[in-house]
Amino acid sequence: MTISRNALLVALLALLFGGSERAYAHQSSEAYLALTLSGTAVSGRMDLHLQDLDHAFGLDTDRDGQITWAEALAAKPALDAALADSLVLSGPKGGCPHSLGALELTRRSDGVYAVLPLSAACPGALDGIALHYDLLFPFDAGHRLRVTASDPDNADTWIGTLTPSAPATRLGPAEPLPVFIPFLWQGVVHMLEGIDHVLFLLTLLLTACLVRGPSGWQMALSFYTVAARTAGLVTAFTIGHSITLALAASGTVLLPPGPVEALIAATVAFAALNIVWPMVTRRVWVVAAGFGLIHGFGFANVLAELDLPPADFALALFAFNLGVEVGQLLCVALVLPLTYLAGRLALYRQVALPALSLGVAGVGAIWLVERSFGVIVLGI
Amino acid sequence: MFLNKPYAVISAFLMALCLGHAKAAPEAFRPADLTEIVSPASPTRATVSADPLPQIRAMVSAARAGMDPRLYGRAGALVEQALSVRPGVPDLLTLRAVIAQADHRFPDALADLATVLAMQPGDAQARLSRAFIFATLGRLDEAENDCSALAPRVGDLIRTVCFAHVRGLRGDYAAAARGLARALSADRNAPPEVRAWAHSLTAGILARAGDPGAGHHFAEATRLAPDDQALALRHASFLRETGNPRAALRRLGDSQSDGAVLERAIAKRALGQPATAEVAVLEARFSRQSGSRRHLREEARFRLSLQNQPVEALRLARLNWQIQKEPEDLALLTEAEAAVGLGEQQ
Repeated sequence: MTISRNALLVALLALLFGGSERAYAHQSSEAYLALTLSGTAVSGRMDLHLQDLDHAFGLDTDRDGQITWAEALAAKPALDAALADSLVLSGPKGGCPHSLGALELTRRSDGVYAVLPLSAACPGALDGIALHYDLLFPFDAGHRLRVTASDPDNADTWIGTLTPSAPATRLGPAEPLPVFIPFLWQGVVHMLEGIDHVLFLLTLLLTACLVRGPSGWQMALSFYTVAARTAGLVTAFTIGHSITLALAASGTVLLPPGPVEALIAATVAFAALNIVWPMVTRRVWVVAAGFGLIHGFGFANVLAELDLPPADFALALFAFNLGVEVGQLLCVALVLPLTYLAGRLALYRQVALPALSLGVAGVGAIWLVERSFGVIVLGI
Repeated sequence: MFLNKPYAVISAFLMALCLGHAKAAPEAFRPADLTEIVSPASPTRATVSADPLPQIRAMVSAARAGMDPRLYGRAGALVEQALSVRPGVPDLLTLRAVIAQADHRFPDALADLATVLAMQPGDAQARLSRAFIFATLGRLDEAENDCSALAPRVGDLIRTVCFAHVRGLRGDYAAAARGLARALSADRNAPPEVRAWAHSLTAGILARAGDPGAGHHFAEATRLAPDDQALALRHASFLRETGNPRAALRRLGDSQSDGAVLERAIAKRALGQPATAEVAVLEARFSRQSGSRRHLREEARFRLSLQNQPVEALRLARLNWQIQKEPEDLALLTEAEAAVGLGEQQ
């Protein structure tokens, strides 16, 4: 067989490409930056592999295949100049110009590194440090900068890794806002979008302005009574679902989502039926709290789908819970005045209320069937 | 859901380890003498050239032979630079795919190869490359499709190697080895690199089948490609697994890749030696880049076979299995599961 030039080329590359020729990791290129923050000052050291610097900047000037200490020292000014642009530190009040001290060397497992002592002064007090680095990325697509920043006053250390696709980061205490606001918002949204929770709350509110008399529902005249009762119910519900949300989100108690969703449907149906055929007439808040426990597991299932940041777990949980309360209060604020006005009408008490209750109970019952047996009837 | 996983605790612990590790920077020094040699120079020098392709090919070739991720990284930077000047050049995209493959970024590699093959369906380099990536991912039908689509001009031996590789992964060792032996004897004029590749593949398939004939093919491959460290490593594993750890140590020489250090440590343990230095080197390398995609297989093997940390080994073996699905990966997963006691429950 004769081998064409093409085939030879392919053959050579085939050798290169062989998938079974596994790429065992040796050592990929890394640089290290260790920073200490105190007040407005930054001190630290940067370690760069001598061979990486040689590849990028040509340390071995006589090309004898060896880098001497004199050759390394000779490259220092060029290195300082390059790092002035390709390592940028900044604090909350602006950039922190840095200067590099005398060159030293150190030995790591994969070779000898240049060590550059670093100091920088920032325009304001530091609560962390932002940095941008791209010294060796143009020369090595696999290069990484491993950064540690420590704050000895608070005994805190943060670590980060900069890569060609992510050459900037901020190290320091987490800023609370990016966690708090989004999770608060998610809580509100879920409360209002979770139609089963809304329906349950509405059902509680339908009779908030009424008392059960010997001849059926009657208007509770005192606004104080109405407000106190509504506050009691909502608070009980809140306490209930806060407990289970915390238990589930922290992984202490875990329930499968299917049965939880079915139970939530059952709470809706029960609350609605309770209006027409009174089963629980006293201490309704106990039922609200108990049902809150069930709804909390439902909230937790949503929370699980949002990537809860492990570092700010408690804050995110709190914000989400608070969001749920905000959503609830919005419901109450909208519906309570309506039921207060409507409660004065006999038509509402005698016709609309039972009709609404039966309707809600029907929806709850259908959900219960849907969620228990995995069939779709209503599709909401 | 969040705190109930033992992994969370383990990774928190590892993170703490990393922090401790990062804090302890090695001591700095200043040589007394200006003429003191402080380091060998880099084997490469960043240069600007009008046609970087030959340079990139040479670098990737050296990276593979020396199992050196640093060289892959440098080649990767050159590829990106060249692509920014001339976007969409198929040869550059293929090289970028090869580099991504070495870094176990298989989806990136497949995306580039799909682009190349859409432009040039007859591109044998891209076709062959993709066949082997599909094989690594356990997508054997797609791998075979690419083998079938290889242009006839690549020669019978390469086509046979392609099919035999997949057949071997399917467990059809006898047919795969027979086909390779036939093609090797029919195509004696193939370039030595290709013959070395075919011999090493045959050896691997026979070794998997427990056939001692693997030794002959490893020897032939070694004769043809004496400097191939990846081959040396697989040969050493074979020697150790067939009860000759002493020969395995000789075959490894002083190679310092993760795989070589790992194999040396396992061989030393097999000889009843402590392998303290090797374990320390690996512990330092792995804890620095724990869970890095590229050496999950090696890290899992290290935790399982040398450090007696089966839970962490299982975590890594599972991550590895999501990325690559060769028989070694399955064996690793099964062993790790057995080690933590999952095997008996199933």
